[in-house]
Amino acid sequence: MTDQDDKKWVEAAKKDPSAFSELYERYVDRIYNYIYYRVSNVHDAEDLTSRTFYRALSHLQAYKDRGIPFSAWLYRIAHNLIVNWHRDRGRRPVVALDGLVLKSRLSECPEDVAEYQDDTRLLREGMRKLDPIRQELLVLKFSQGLSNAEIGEIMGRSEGAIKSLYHRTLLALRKELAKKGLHIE
Amino acid sequence: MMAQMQRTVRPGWWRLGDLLRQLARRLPGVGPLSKNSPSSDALESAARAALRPVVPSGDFREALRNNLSFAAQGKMAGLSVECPKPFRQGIILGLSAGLLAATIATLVVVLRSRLSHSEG
Repeated sequence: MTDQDDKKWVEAAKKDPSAFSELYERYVDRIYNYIYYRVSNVHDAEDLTSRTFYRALSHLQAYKDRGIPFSAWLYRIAHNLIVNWHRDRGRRPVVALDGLVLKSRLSECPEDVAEYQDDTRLLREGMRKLDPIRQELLVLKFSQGLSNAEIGEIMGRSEGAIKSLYHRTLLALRKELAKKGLHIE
Repeated sequence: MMAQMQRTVRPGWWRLGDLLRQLARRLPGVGPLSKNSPSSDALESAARAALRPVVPSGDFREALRNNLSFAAQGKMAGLSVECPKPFRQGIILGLSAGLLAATIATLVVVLRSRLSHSEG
């Protein structure tokens, strides 16, 4: 999945909108995942994912690659919809707390599983205490696996600024976790 | 002479190096959190595990794919693309049901009054 491939499919979809299905297949999981961790529930994540792709299809003619890849453009649409969604509900953006899966740990003893669950809950609670920009950065970094440069394109900041923000975010997260008695060493 | 001095000084440097390394381990919050810091690696791993990627349900993916394909066809035909809003459909259905119920109730009242007039 490269920017060059995206460019090819975007140009194709501008001429024939049915080619948009290829872009949908490439990004639906990532966009859903990004939205899910910003709105905290499946129902709204599905609704906002739908709106993101409808808006992208509707405004595709207006998209011009001026150094911003199609993926970053799509994330920005999702980001704006999330911001509006939170504003309409008067709520602070939060990292989702549900959907915890004990992958590959089910065979371990119940005490370990319970401890793991508890640590994960505390960790997510700690993330919820961070400001929305830092929460977004953590989701893009860890859930999406994006590089600092890619995150910079989405958040409209330089790679250096993201690197610095990331370090400050980890420090803030560590501080929040320490308040809850969780020390990750 | 030089060799003897080196033998005397070297253990001192090593001990100082050890002390500095121990100090750095005991003060994880001091200085920038570097990529190589073992504690930052542990925190990153924990955060990665807590934000494990999730995927949408197959039904949702399929439904959205079909809806977008339909919207793309409409766009080709010159129609505007608009995300269907479930609450609007609910309002339309509710209004339709209300209108139908009101019509039936009116008919029943009118028919009854005519029947009672004809009987009277």
